[in-house]
Amino acid sequence: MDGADAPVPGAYVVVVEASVPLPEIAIVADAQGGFAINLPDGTFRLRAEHDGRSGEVEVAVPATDAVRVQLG
Amino acid sequence: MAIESLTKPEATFEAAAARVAPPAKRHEGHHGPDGEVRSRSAEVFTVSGRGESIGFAMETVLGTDERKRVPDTDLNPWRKICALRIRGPGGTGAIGTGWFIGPRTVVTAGHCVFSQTFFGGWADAVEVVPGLNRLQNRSLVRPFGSTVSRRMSVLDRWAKSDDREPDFDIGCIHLDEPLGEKTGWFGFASLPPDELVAFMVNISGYPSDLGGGDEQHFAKNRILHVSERRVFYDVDTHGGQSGAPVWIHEEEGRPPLVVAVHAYGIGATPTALGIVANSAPRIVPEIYDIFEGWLDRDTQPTTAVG
Repeated sequence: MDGADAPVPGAYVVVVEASVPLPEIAIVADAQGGFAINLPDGTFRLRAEHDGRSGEVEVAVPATDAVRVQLG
Repeated sequence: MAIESLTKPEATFEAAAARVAPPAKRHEGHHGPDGEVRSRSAEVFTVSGRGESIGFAMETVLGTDERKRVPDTDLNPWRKICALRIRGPGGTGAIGTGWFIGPRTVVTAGHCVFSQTFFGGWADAVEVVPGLNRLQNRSLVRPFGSTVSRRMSVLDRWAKSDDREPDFDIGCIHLDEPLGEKTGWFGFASLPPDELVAFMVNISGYPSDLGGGDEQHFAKNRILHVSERRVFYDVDTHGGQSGAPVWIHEEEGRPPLVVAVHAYGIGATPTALGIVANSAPRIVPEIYDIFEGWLDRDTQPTTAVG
């Protein structure tokens, strides 16, 4: 989401910290600004990036809700 | 336990059994159609031989970000490095990095073509863009064009690991179009751990955080540790650089020799090692043989590909 809480298609999402080994691939948000990663159980920090802006969120898996990352 | 290549089922070729190869094998690269012309930035950026650490680098940028943008991606060795645009079967998109080992053969990380975590299995298709660059006027340049492939291979141990064995995270994209004839390709080597230790390594790829995956960025530093199947280094990297070549120059003026495939940030480094480092699965003898097997297959006609 951007500052106006609008979805950001094409934003990159990377896992920057994890309690299990996860590789350095960058996922691309779809046309609705959504993304899906089938994370194993553990704790993770996800970072979203777009046009020089970024935001991070911590996730504990299994998670019950969808995750939203706010771009600063 | 022997490891093998596992090929996406649509491909025309079958996996071949890994053979045990002797240590310290070197496969020569190719400069490309214009000979040994090397970019000026490569002369300035890259490092050779063994040496002292340049400084602590983090997935990962470790300390001060030491990455440098590559300006002339149409020249050696940068043009042998490809931006990957990956599409999963459910429409998931991703970016990564690959590098030529032959006219039609691009090596990358296994998870860039097969990942339960990101694609639920095989990627659907990958667009390979050698030397992708963004000019000052913001326009994108593809100096050698690009091609899309649906034919991919990974190590079978990676495919069977449920993304849990970083040591085997290596894959390949097989091209119908011989784009590598325009760019040349990297040499690669299987070197014993005691030969690799303390070598200076070079890594260049397409990170998401600098240039949005459209610019190539380079960093270098010293190898910190070599395990049976992985190499650890404090070289700055980020998401999108998975699959990038980790290369050495054995001596000043010698051609680049890829020894590992970058894939992991600091989270995959065992705490028992007591170091903060990123890492890559090594080209060990059986991986070397699998690379040669991939090259052999890509010289065969591809008319019956589904």
